[in-house]
Amino acid sequence: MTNNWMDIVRKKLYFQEKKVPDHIWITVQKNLPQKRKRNKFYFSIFYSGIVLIGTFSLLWFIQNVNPSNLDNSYTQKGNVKITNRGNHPILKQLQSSPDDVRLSNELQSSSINSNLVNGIKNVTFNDKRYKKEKNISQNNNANQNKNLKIANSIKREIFEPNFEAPNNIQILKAELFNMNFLPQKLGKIIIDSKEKFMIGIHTECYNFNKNQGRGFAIELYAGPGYNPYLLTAKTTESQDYRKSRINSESSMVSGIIGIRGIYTFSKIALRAGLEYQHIHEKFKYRNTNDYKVIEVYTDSQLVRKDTIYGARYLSINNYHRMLHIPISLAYEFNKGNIGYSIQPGVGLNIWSSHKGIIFDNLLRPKSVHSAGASGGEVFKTKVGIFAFMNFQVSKRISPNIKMFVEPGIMYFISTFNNIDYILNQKYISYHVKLGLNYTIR
Amino acid sequence: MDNKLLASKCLKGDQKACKELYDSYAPSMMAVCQRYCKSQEQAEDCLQDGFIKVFVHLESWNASGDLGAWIRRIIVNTCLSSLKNAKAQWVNFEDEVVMAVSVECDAVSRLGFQELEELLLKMPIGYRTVFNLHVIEGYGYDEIATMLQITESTCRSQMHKAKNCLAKKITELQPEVKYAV
Repeated sequence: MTNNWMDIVRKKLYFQEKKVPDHIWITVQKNLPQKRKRNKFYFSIFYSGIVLIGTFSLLWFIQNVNPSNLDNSYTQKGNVKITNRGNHPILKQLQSSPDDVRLSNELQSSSINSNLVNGIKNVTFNDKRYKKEKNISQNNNANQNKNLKIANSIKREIFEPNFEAPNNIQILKAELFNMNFLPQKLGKIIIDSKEKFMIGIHTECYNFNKNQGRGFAIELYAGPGYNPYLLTAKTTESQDYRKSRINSESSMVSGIIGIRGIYTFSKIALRAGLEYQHIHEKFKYRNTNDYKVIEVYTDSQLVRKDTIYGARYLSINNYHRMLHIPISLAYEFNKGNIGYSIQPGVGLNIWSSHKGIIFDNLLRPKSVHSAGASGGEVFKTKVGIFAFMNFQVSKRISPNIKMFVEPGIMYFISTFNNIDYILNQKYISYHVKLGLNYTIR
Repeated sequence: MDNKLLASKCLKGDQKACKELYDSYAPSMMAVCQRYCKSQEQAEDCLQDGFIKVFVHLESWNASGDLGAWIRRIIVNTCLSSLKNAKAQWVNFEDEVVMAVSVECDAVSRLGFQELEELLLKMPIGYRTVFNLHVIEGYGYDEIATMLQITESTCRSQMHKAKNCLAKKITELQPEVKYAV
């Protein structure tokens, strides 16, 4: 019984609650531990991997477009694959007497049918997205005479700078071309006088695409943007505050820059990358109760002090800097040399920093600087998800490089503000990206 | 939100979850701090330091246990450290013969939270700490002795003295109530 009154004391005091001053949370928040290092570690490994893959791909690309490496198995558009070139009978003769080449009947037929053309006999011909494979050796006898003339003509076209084949031979060549065994126009053989034959054949032939529409590419882009925001009041009391913010802030021209990898299969392209977005706004404020104190000193002695009252106009640049991971699945199609692509996608903002001044709920200018770990009171340091839609028009400027223009729109599904803030602030971003597309393979 | 989920979100650095956890427990912990500390400023400092410790060591919380009790223990320990730094004096009553006293339950029931708290705060800091730890938090004398680095008998004597003191104060507040021996 003696402890009963203490039980009552306990019950009364144990669950008691007291009002907590706001400043305690602010201090606690500043001292909150950072996100677990393990996540950062995986994150950095992931992006280091992407950068490494990109670098190696670029190096591989650069190495393979070097003309000195065009000797064996280069089948990009504009080039013809020639196998076993070093043992080619024509070249053997050229080595012995390059100025006096005579093709024997045996050599003519075999060179065209078995050797020179055999070099490209098993090519994949890609016109209107279908492939054909043929073997010319089945038609050797029937075309022997025709091929003899063509062989002579081809030989002279290759080795004699000013030679132009007669019309009848051009027709025969065109027939052979139509059978998909011969490039439309042959280039000249470049003979290295030192001892080695270097062949650089530049033709305007079809694209011998072995990848059946699959490929990898990298895109680099940058461009201007305009980012108006949508402000909604959470309560009716905050409507006036919302209007004040809208009237005091205006969107300015901003920018976007990024890199992304593309995997293409048929007409579908998957894009993923890293994008930096810079949103620029202007905050204008008129302080009608501003004052300025002017102190006049003579020999370090204050002799006069004037206070001037008036209005001061402030114009502050506000910035939102953000890093996104955009992922899109695009439909692509070509019309001639121009490519088109429609890219719907989603993205995740993984980092954002905010700097500037806005009104607080008492309509006083307030700093919203949020760089660093603690984050600001108004804006988030990780905004969240957004959806976007881009439309790309591209033009091929070299076998591996395309130039593109890409207007697009982004809508931030997540709000920029923290949950405690009395308004909801979402952004719509309009932008035009200009960039280059490097086809790796 | 479930405490387990809330804690895991806090560990991932989710500031919203941290705020939610703080808002859930801060008011009750503020009351705890005020009961232990000498002043409002000291109580606020203890609450702040205590919650920083909570978030820093949240990983060590055993998810099967009660999160509220775990936070309370950290806050109480923070308050005790603060008192220790402020050099609170523990009076040894080993030689004194202490008579156990009691008051009627009705008298205590009639008291409001505010009055009861005021009476508690009027007690000397040493009595108050032992009373808080034993009666409110439910620690045993051996545990209190370890926490305060005093002997168990000192704990007991402080507790008896604290009870007497509080009973006296309740009686003074309500003269019609007599405390029983």
